[in-house]
Amino acid sequence: MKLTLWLLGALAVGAYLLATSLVPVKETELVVVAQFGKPVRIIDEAGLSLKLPDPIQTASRLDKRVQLLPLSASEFVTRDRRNLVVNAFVLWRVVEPKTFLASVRNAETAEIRLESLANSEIGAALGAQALDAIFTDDASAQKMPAVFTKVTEASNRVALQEFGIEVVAVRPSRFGFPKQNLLAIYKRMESERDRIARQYRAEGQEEAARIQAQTEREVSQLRAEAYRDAQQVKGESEAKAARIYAEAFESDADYYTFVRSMEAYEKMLGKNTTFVLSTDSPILRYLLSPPAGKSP
Amino acid sequence: MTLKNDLLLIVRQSRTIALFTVLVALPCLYLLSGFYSVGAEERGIVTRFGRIVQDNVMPGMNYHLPWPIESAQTLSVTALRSMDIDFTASAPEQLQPELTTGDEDLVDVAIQIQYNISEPALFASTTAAEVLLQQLAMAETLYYISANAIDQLLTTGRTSLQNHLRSNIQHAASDLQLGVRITSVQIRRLEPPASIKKAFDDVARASSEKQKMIQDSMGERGTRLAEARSAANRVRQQAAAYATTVLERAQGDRDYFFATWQEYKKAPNLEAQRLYLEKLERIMAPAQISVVQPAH
Repeated sequence: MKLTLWLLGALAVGAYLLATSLVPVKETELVVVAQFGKPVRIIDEAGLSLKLPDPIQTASRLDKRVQLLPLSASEFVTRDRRNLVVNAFVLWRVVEPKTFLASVRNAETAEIRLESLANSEIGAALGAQALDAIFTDDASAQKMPAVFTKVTEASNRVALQEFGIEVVAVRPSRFGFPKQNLLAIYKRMESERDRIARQYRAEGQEEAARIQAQTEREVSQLRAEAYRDAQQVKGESEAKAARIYAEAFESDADYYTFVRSMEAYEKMLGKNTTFVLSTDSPILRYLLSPPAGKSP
Repeated sequence: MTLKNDLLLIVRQSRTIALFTVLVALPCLYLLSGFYSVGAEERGIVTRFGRIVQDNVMPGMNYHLPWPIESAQTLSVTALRSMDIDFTASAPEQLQPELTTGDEDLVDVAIQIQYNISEPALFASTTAAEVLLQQLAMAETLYYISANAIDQLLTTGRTSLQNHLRSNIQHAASDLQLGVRITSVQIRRLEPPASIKKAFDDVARASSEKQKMIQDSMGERGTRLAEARSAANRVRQQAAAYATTVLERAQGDRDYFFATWQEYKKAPNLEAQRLYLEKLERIMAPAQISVVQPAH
């Protein structure tokens, strides 16, 4: 009976020793082994590890995954005195468990410290920038990602040294002007759109007028060219005709003048012409005095 | 006594069953507890004392060593997951609801991210991977919107915004080892603020009015130029016709002249006289003639 009791006792002690000296470590955690409260060893490899049994060595677990800390929206001022409201988030993880445990002990405290750290770094970084470097339509001149990279680096330096925390990233999730500026921005946008609309309409009219004027010009040019060509053709033909007439004229000037004059008279004079002829005129020579004949 | 005897009898008889239960059935059940199934759309992750030993167990029936040595977890990975981010709906209280563009205008944005899990082990060992992804996506959207002018965003920038976001969110997610693959980023809404949408619509209208004015005057120009060309052609044709007429007539006249002249040369006086009278007859016949006697 006594033996059974002893056996049972040994079994219980063995089970206790086994349970407290075997430490299963998850992929997502870090285990800090403390000997009588003083951290002596950090297990950062997942799997089964060994330690001295409780209460000599105790294990405390820390999440080593990246943690998300959303910051509440805060107002900042840029170098050119413009107010901005920024809603940012911090990604952080524990990398130096000893420092972490010594300084902030738990995630809640760490987050409070990180929040004020990140906010002051954002304030400093934004205060060094002018607004037109943050909002710019030239992507290569944009400073916003650089600002937050700088904030990340600065926060990381402090957090690593003081809290054993790596700040993986500080980035904005919202970024803009305070709500009280909203109406003014809407008004400005509206009047700008009005201006653009007016400009489009004016451009349309201008372009239409330009096209009309050009059309006008081309139409009169076409007409003038046609007139010029026509006059040339006409002139040439008349010159040629004149040469032809001259040919005839040169061969016998008297005869030509006579024939041509007669033709002209024929056209000039008509029904409404009244001739007053003297009986003396040669045409009427035979009218009143018949030809004398051969005799007498 | 009989009761005690009966009980003893029962114990004695069931000892075999009890022994069987303890030595065979329980260990068997314990070993069987390691079976688990992975569904068609899932992948399994097996951890041994917290360390991941298998991170991509294919669908089907599988086995892991029983608790507390190994444990298995299944994740739905092949299914496409989607996440909506509506900036306007999720704006903090003291901030404008829209995002600020590069030219300090406001724009109403909502996007949808589609993704699946590419590395189950990474995805499973990240804290709130999806919340992280959302925050990263918001930061990338902010960066892009604040580096581009509103006109560009509303017109040509949509596709490039989607592509830019897909690659940058993927990049950020890979940096943080979230184990996700971004398949696409869709723009659900990219509009001017609702309260001043009218002004933007008016700009669109003005732009199409401008195009219409230009098209109209181009059309009119076409008609007028065609008319002018046909008029010019007519003038040229008329001139050519005139030239031909003049030339032909001149040649005719010359031929006539030479023909009559040939005759005339044979007997100049006679022929001149005859011609003269002939013409006179034609000229004077329709005219009115008064014959007077000279008063001498």
